[in-house]
Amino acid sequence: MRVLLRGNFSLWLGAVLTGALLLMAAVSLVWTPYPPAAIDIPHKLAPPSLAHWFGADALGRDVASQILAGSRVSILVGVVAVGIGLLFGVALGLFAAFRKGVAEDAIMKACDFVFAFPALLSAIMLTSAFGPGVVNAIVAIGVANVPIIAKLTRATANSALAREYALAARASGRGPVAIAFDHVLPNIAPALIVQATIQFAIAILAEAALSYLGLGAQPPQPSWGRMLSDAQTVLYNAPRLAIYPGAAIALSVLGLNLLGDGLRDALDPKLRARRS
Amino acid sequence: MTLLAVEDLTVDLPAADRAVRLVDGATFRLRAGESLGVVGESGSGKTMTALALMGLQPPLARVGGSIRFEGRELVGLDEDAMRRIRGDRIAMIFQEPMTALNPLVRVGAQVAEPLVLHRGMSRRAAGAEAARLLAHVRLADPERAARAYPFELSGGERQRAMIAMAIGCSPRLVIADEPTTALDVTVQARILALLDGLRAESGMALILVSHDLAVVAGHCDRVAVMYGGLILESGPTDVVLRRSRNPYTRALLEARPEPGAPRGARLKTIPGSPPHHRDVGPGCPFAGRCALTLDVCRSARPPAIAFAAGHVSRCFRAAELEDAA
Amino acid sequence: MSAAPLLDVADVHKAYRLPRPRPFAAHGFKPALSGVSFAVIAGRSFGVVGESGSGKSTLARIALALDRPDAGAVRLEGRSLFDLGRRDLRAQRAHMQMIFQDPFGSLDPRMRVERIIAEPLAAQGGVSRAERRARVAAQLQAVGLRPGDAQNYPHEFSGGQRQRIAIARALITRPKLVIADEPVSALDVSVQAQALNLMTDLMRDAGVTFLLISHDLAVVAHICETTAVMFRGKIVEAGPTAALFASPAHPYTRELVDATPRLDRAPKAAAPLSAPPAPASGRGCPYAPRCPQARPRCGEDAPALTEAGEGRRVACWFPLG
Repeated sequence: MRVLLRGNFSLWLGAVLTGALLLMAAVSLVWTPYPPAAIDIPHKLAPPSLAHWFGADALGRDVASQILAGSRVSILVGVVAVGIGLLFGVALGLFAAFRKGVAEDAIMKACDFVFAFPALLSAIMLTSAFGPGVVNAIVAIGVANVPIIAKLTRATANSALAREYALAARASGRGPVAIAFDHVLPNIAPALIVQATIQFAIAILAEAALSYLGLGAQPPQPSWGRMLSDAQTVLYNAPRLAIYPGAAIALSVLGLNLLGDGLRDALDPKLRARRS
Repeated sequence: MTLLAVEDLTVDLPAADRAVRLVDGATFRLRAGESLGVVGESGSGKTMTALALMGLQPPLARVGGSIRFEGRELVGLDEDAMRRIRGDRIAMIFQEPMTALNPLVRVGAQVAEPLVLHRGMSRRAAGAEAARLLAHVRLADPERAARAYPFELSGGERQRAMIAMAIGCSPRLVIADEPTTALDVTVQARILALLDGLRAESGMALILVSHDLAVVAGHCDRVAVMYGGLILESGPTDVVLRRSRNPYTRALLEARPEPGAPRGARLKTIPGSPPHHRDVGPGCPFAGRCALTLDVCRSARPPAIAFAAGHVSRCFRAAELEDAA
Repeated sequence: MSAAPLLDVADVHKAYRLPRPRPFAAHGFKPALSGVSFAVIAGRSFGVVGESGSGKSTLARIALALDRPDAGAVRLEGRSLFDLGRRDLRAQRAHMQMIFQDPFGSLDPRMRVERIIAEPLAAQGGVSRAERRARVAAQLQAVGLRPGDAQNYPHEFSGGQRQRIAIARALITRPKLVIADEPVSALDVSVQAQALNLMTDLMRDAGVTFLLISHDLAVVAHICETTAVMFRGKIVEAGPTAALFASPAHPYTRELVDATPRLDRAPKAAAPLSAPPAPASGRGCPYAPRCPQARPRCGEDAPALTEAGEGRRVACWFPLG
């Protein structure tokens, strides 16, 4: 009973936190209290007030506006990087599962190879080779997602293909593409959705780290990671400048992880049956 | 001498709205050396009856009625006392020895385990005794089997190892739940013959739980036919098979293709499918599918009506069913 | 009207590669089928009996071209399945369908019954939505379910009903041959009879011929005119079902018949020993180590499947009288 409640609770809290993140990004598209990049030296390091809810940073930029606008980069990176991971990962994983033998071995070995590089390290390598910027950061994080999704897809697809209904579909003359779309994908989708939310959270963290290192979003584009990096120089004078973006990152990642956790329980037919 | 007397045994499982009765009023007796076959389809309550005898019902289930074993009441006995009986005086053999044996422990050590536990033997003495037991269940190469891990044995060999483990402490009662269902027919025949032999030489009693009437027919003195949690008919095997007084038993016997029957002959079918234990109403569980259903069958549990030679049928129309079969 | 049999399985061999026992060691091979030949005549259902490991399920997969044999041929009405192109093979699949043992595993839990039953039609293509719906409804009725059941999911049905759904799927393309691998062994006894009667009706009314694979002699005897008995990847005896089981010529068939539990007689005393260790030589009759009639010759030389009169074939040096 408690387990189920916890499952429901994490789904609920995760959805609220993730919803808040999306809402922030949507609002920032049409309105922010100040232009997020507007420099206002007279108000530098202003404490929180009615005019500046979270205060202003070392250049007098409004922190609340930057937090709102910074969510856009986080979401952009998360969506596109996870999208890249899903697109190529699912395709490679399915191909490996359907084409046993040499093709499967080759794909999985290649995945292991990419896997062996920490995502952040390969992102640093990529951005240092092609120059810093959001696009390169996204590509780097997305590429790192591909082997994770590919391995998950292959493993779950193999077990779906081993089921008799997949064999029955083959026996009735259906081709591999039809079987993939009708039998394999619907049955492995829950696992993929859960993994995607977790990869989304990791992508947000990775973007923050890259921007912190100066390899991600470039000024004047607002980014939580870069806010952290900027706050470092005035950490003793105004620690709150690090706390706001830090909290934003932490809450977003927490929300997505809880959402993934909750979805895992909600999409598991065995747990669902017990609940009803 | 009566070894086991089960009187009005009930097993209830609390569910969301009301308790679900998985076993309802099971009553039977077993003498030393006797064998009882419990036959039923999925959801009939046959496995739950077997588990309740061992005190192994699911954690929330409530057991009512009386189980007297060697003159001692087992219902309500605390877990410690029950554990001392389990594996020592009453032993159980499961359907799938692959899952009932620990995959990471050598077979010999597993067979030795009850001896260490109940007989206080040293590991070394128990190991030697295990080798003797494995030979006793006629494993072709007992030394190899003792050293093997479960996955290294065939299905039949694993089931023999399970039997060796069960008989180690010379139990007075062995409960075998579908012991041969996962095995090939030729292996099944040998395992059942082995159980017959052990029973004859040691005087242990056997409860053989099976979905297959024919398996039970060949190896049991008495048979109880369960359906929807109720024992619908029980009695000496010959009497139940040849002069059944219960429409369900009769339907089961007729639904079975016999090897000698002409090809393509129509089998008598029973409409519908066995009820889920949640759906068993106040009446006879077979009422919906039975050709002889009366109004009363749907509203009240049929009483147990006794005939000669310990033959009992739960059916309102039992007396009408003459010795026709 | 060709004279070719409906299904012709000719000298099929198949071995599975075992994992390496040690790193860098050579792969072992486990033979699943060695030289299996038989023909299924249209209108005469054919049974295959044997125990686990006899190769009967491998045979089903190869007969359906779900697996390729290492050697040998499978012909459906004279067309060799493994020489067809992918497109032609897919077209041939309309003529042969399969029923699986497990009525829970063989239906996709995320599909409605209508889509499940119509799947072989989707594979063939060229069937309109309205026609598909009508044929599914007709098929549901033919197997004793309601047309309204088409919109439900598999988990809403009992085991017996699911097996009917699986049978409906197998019949939607009006196949000539249906391969059924243990179609009733997962069903409750009281439900088995319904499924067996349904199969009998389909043979009579829909012109279906079954290749029925089972461990249960009674089920095979009920459906099949001709039967082959398999042991360790070989057919050891084949012939008209009734004669085969009434007077087995191969000692293994005899053992199977004796081991089958029956209501009408006490069990025959079974040999008490479990299977003794496998023989060192792979040359002799595979059944020799277990055979009560084995003589020295049986351990040295494997007998071939030879004609024994009255349509019977037996692979034994010393067939029973």
